[in-house]
Amino acid sequence: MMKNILIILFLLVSMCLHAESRKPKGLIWSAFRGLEYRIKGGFNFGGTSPLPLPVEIREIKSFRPGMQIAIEGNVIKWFDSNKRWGGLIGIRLENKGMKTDARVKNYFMVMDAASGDVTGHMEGNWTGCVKTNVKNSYVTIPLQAVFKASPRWDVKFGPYVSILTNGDFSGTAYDGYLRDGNPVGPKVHVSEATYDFSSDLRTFQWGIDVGGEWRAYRHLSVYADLTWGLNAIFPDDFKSISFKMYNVYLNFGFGYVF
Amino acid sequence: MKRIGLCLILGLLCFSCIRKEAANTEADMETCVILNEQGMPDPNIKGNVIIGNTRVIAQATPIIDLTKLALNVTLTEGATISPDPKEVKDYSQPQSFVVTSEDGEWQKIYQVSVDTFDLPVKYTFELAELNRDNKYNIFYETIDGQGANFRQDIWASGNGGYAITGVAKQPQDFPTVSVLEGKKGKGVRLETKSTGGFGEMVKMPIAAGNLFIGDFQVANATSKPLEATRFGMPFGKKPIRLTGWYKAKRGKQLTTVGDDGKAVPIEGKDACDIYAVLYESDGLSQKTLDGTNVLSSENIVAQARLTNPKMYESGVDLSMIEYEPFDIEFDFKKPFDEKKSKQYKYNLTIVFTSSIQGAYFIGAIGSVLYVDEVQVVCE
Repeated sequence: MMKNILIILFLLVSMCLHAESRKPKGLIWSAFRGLEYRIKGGFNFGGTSPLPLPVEIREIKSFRPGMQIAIEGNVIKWFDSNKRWGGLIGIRLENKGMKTDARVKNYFMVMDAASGDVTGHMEGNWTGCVKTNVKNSYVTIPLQAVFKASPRWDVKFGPYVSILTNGDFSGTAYDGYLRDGNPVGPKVHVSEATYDFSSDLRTFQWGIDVGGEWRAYRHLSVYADLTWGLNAIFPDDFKSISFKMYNVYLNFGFGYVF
Repeated sequence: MKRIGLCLILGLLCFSCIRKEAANTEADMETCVILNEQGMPDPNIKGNVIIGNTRVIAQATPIIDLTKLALNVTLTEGATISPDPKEVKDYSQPQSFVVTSEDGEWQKIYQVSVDTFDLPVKYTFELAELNRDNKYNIFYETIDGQGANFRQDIWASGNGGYAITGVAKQPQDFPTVSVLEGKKGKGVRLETKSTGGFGEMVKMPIAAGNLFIGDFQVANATSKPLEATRFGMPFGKKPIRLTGWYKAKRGKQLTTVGDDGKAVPIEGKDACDIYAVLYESDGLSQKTLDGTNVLSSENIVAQARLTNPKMYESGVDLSMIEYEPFDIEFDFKKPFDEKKSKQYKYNLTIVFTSSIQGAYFIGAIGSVLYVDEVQVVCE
């Protein structure tokens, strides 16, 4: 994914340089039609989390957002000649991820784990610690309304859709115990058990994207977008994690306005 | 704009606050001390009080007054128990207690029994039943005495641990099962099995079938597997020979645990294991031997172990094979102390397993051991 992003970044940069040199023709043509092009590069900072935190989570021992890159190219079509209202469509290649270490109490889960032709089934309440690593790559299409609040400020809001291109949701449960079946079932201490739910992740994501962009210079802008997932990252029939988890990330960085 | 962003982030933070802790849902009896009428720990209790998930078993010398005993228990925080265990009761028959969780939603019934009988020395394995949640077989013995058939829960197996993996769909899928085709009547069948995906997660890819006199602590089954098998119960006789009937075969491929927790093939051949150990319980942690020291402890007084068991190859259908007798003499490593024996300071265990290194998760899936009509011949 990282490699892909670098390649695309390189292509975009060379495209801009190319566009720059052709500015008189292409951009003037576009400007007449109220079209504007922007590219952006930045980071995603946030969490894949149940909201609000369920009562089973007793402590977040550590949280590391990691380095989650997002790059984006978009087109704005201004609807009026004053360029106050416009519509935006784009394409964003992004990672959403984090690492957490949490302590949970009495957290109910159902899991199936196959090994060859032997399938295990586990159901019960876990009390102990859970480390989670999330690193998901998405191709995202934002569709936003743009309002120019001032010559330098653009405010944007609208939905987005994402397709998961590569998912990693794994971790370890450690230093705790499972009660088999229910809270009064047999107790089993577990010093460490690994899990991997990557293949259970939902491919399609959607949510709301609200953001702002501040034009620092003629071509350079600073932006921040809050992307709030409205469907859970696992399908409804996924029972291993009993609460629904959502992607909530702040996407921020720099933009280049052609 | 900045303000909006700030509000959003603050909102998000508030949304993700840790909530107030819920009341406990567990209802465990964590410790249990048997008290005499005066409210003092009764000195006639021998060995450990075994606390299972729903059953408490204590062993006592016959001079104990069973009719006037009480309990001093500790429970999960916030849980309650009824009737009051501090009340003096008659424990000639098992007594039941209901423990209710702090949140009031969960209950567990504990049965507390005090066993004043000596360990039996003849084991026919005719008595087996399903455990409380009807998942797997447990074996027990009874003694005809005082007009009642008193039940003695002396046999333990790893079935309770295997149950957690969810691999077994019915009792016959477990590593330790009761079978109709014993040497005489019913018998025991032990088989080394795969533990599936969950076994791999905790680096225990196989489970050998096992049956032993003692206590299997499911709670430690995955975190401290060697300590989970606590071997032996107080025994007041001098054992001379271990006799019985068996037949066994080895699985195709011997495996050990790989770095990823999966079973990886290794050179070598699997074998079953049958042995009995008499040891002195004083000075041992928890007063019992466990998987770490059952064959190596300094406390061992005598030992009888089947050497070079007859192993059939994996293709053989054991149901067509006759049982083989075994008769092994106890090898005394220390002089037998009559006095200590009478004071129940010696424990006896008998162990059967389908894979000799099963405790270390080395074995061959498909290794099988049938055992029946076992006896400890005493002086």
